Amino acid sequence: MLQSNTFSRKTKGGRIKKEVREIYLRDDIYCGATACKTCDTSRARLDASAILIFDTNVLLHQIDLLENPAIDNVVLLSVVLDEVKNKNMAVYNRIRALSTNPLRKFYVFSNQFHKDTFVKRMDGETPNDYNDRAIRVASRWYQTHLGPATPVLLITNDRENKRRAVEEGISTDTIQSYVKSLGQPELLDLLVHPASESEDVAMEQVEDLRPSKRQVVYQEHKPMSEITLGLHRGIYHQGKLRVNRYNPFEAYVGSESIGDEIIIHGRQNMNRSFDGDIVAVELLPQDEWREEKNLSIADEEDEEEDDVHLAPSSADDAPRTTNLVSGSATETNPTPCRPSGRVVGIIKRNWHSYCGSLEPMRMPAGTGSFTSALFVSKDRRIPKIRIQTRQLENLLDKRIIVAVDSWDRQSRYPSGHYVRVIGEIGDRDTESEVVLIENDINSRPFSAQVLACLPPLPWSVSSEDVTNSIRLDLRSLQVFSVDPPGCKDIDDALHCTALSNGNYEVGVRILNIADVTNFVHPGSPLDDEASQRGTSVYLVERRIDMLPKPLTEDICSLRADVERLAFSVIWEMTSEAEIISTRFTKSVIKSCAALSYVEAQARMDDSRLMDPLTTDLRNMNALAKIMRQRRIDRGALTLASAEVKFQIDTETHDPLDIGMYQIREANQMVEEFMLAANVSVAKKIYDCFPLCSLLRRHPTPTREMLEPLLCTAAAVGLDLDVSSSKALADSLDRAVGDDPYFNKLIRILATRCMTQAVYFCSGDLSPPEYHHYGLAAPMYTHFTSPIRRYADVIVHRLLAASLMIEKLPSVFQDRTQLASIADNLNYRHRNAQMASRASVELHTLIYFRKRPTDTEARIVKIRSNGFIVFVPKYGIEGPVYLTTRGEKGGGEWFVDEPQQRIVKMDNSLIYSVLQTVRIHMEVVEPQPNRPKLQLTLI
Amino acid sequence: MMQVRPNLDYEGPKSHQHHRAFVFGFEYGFLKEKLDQKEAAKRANEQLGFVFDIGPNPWSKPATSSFGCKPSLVKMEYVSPEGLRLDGRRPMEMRQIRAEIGTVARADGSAVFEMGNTKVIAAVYGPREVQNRSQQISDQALVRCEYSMANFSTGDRMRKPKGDRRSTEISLVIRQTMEACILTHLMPRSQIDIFVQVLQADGGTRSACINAATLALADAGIPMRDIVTSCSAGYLNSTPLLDLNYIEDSAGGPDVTVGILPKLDKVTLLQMDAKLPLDIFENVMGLATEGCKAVANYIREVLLENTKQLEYRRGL
Ligand SMILES: [Zn+2]
Repeated sequence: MLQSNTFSRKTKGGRIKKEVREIYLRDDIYCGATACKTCDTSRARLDASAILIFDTNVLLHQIDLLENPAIDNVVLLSVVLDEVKNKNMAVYNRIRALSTNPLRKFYVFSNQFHKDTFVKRMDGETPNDYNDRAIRVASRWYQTHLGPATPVLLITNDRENKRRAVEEGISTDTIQSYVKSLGQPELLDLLVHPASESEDVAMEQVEDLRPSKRQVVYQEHKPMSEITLGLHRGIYHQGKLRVNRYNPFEAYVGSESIGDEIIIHGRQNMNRSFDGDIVAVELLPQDEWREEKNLSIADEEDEEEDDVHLAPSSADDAPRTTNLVSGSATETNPTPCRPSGRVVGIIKRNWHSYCGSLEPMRMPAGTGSFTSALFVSKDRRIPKIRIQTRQLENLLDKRIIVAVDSWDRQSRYPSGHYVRVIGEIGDRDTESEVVLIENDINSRPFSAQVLACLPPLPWSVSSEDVTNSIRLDLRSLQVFSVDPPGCKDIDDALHCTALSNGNYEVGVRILNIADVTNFVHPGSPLDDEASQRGTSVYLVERRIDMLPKPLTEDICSLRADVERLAFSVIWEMTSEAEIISTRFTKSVIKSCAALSYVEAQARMDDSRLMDPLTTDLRNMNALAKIMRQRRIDRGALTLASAEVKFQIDTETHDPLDIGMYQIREANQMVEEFMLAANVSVAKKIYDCFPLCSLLRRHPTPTREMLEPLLCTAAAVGLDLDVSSSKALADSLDRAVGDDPYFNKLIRILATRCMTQAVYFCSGDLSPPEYHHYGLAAPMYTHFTSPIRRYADVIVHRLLAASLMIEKLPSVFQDRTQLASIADNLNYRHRNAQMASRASVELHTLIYFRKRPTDTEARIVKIRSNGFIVFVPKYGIEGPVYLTTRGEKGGGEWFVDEPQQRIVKMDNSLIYSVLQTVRIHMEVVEPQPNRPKLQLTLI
Repeated sequence: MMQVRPNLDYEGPKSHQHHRAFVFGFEYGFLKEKLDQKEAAKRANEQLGFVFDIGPNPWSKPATSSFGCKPSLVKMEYVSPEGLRLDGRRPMEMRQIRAEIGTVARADGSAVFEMGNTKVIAAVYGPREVQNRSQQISDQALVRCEYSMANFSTGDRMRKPKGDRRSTEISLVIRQTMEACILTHLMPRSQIDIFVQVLQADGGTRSACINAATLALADAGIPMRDIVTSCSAGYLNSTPLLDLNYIEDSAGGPDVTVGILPKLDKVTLLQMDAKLPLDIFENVMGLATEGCKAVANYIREVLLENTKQLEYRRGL
């Protein structure tokens, strides 16, 4: 079973250190060809046609091509895979996915451990040469092993490797000529064209970089050794570059060495870095910190464009610029500015593929030849990307995916290649898919492995479940649920019973999905999938579930009149809503009514109704009101955001009507009990597992973040105290203007200054940091929606473990892993919200396409050439220009910053912040296939 | 337990920062001083069926919040999807083992034992008169053990401290394991000294030491109930792995060292320094036990061969 040949090799560590490692060479590694007579073919995948072997660079760069089914029958050498893994984990994962895909013929050959293909490292040989030699040895082995009947083709673009392979009698080809030989021209678009300075075989056929353009645009990146040294000495600072979502010419690098964010202004200073790249930054001299800013605005050219978009609901959605007025007024007020810098090198790229469309251009004469086109990403943070295509005509009106390959100093734009078409621009399905891809949301159907984890259907509560001693039988209680109309994934239900001592027993039951004995077993494919998805995503016209439909809508939905398993939190409360005792238990329940908010509200309001259900509702509502008041007294903020609701045509899925989402008392009642349940559960799990609980915190906003709010408030003569959440809550209460909407508007503006709450692992932070600012709670978690949030599933497991019902899965022992789960949840959560917002924006556009509308709007921000308005009715905001574009304000208008006004020179017109204006909304198409919503003043 | 680390540059020594829990013949005895976790959390963990509770995970560092960007889940692959470990073995395979008896002429018994690149030499003196009279035991032999590591045994050629916590602990482990199989009551008022030195360390030194000591004792002709053999097994990438080498050992996963008396089918040593759910623990321990049996077969062959040669030399 064991080959006894032992080899040793040296590797040099950080310090020079000899390491000796054994390699066991084997004779039980097979070639993977189904037709092979000498090998074990049980796991073979390769057929009798030509076998392809790729070298590392081809794999790294041409992954989009490899994913195309036209390329098949491939041997992946383990030496190549290892190198790919070290260089690019994302590509590695994609290749691994290919090798496990039963539809593709990709076979991994562990050449390093095969007795005939093992290659001993030679003295003075570079890792590259070593790998190339190993690839050649393996290729030759395949050639002799399979005999002349099966051709073996080594695909490499490395000139030296190719030459030696030919010498050694291996047939080789470059990827370009191989793809050409396949005779499928559309494949050529998928090819990545290597950067010109590389040593690779020259690309005679597609050299299209116009020489006139070949001037140096960007500064050279420093070599890695210099960067390391600079970081060490503190001259450079390392961090992740984040580009401002609303101004792609401004980026931030959070630097630990400075303890502050470094601002990078303009593409020049960003020096070819992309959002998410890990970069090395050099600080600019202090006197350039401000000057750079103005330059960057001048640099922006025609690219900067304000679109109408959904009003932001938190600071994460909003532009990050603190000064409201850009341009003329800035020199007059020397606000303290943050350090500015420029990128000197890129430590790790974050390139992936992007959704977008080609910039409209005139069709070149003659078709079928390569033309170069500019790709504009939907994500504004991404610069335009130059691609080469043969199918320009076909692509111009399409949404396409493009991947970035390289960006050299001489070109203004990075170059990339076409990956695939999503669909036609403006088509609702296409645009929805774009939204999903943009936000990295997995909307694929669940795999067979995941579905295999589901219990057999139809499912019902078994007698064992009922008699189980850990489960309380609460079927006799009058339990009901209150949800939005048409809600199918009902994950919470309530009950409220008056006790003989005058107290109330109030219970919140949450569907018990995380039950080990039930549905989602820790570590199962279903659990892994849910943990990856993290949350359900709600788009306007569809929902992308975290869990398969049978679970979401049936087994785990607390529907009326069926028995369901649940996890209950039961409080005994006085009529003053003081909690006397709290109990957590698993239970079996039977909901007696699934009410909608409207129905529940109607029942409470109808004084003639005296049935038990309505009485319970009223009692609960009374308790909820007290609890709510108490929470507000503690300093919880009543925030507001412009939630929009669409009415969707069931046939065409087109929006029929939009309007603000109305919040009723019933909503607030349910919300109050859910908050209380979450707080109770957070305490319980933290007490039992202080190091590995999953909690949720909401950081206190800094003064800087609240600056825009304070500016606006000051302009309208409002004095806001932001020293604490309590003080802010009180001053928001006092903020009453002449019109009824004024207070709500101020609250909306306040809400968008706050960041989102985030999940974290309790062991990673100290208790004061657990604070939830918005709810004024010292500790908070998510427990109430396990169907649609994975965080709740985790919390269910923690709670069950704390009650000693179940074992805690082993992942909770590994805090690093727990932290990465929390990070993933935050990422997914954020993306889900972004996707929902984008979907609403998309449907708003579709809605107004046929319906030009006049409506009222409020000015929320003053610009040098106009202002930004917020349209409460539709929850959107966008720019209204007072001057035509390009004039930039000119002399006609000037901005009065302290007053937050824009005034016409002759004083005939004044617009100030929060003022109501009437506007006209209409969808226009300034460029073909690029519809946008335009707001104009009436 | 899956090992997920934010970066791959972790290389730190593993066992030194750890509290170790010992089990002899399944009697639990904790060497560690105090659990520094909160009492409640500990109790809860015990309830939840973890084998041992060893304090907070020394590798977990405060996570840097990377909100808004995709967290990188970099998982070190200790077993490739093709089922091969970093050194080409399959999960259930042991490294190559080799033994040689009688390597130190002056000692009463000696042996060199190799498991892959781990190489250990053991020398046994005795039974002889007890050197320190006060330690003499009237009805059985006194067994002493000294473990050390040669300065050249690892790549960095540092001076290895003697009598530090780790070597004291390993000395104790070896002494107690060997004591359990030597028929000490046959040699009252005498002393047996076992010296083991690691010549080359590449994971699994503890097991190699015990195997070498067994051979040396047999060479010295000391009466034993049975030979003791030892082997370790770990659990990485959700796979039980037999006989961890240094790289695998440094991964920070659980590492179960088992010592058995193969003929009597008894466990004399069981050590682990991490937490594992019970069902997985049983698998890993079963694997290690299989390893012990394989070692036992080999050791028996070596001893037999040695006896044959002795017979030959004596002209029998
Ligand atoms: Zn074969």
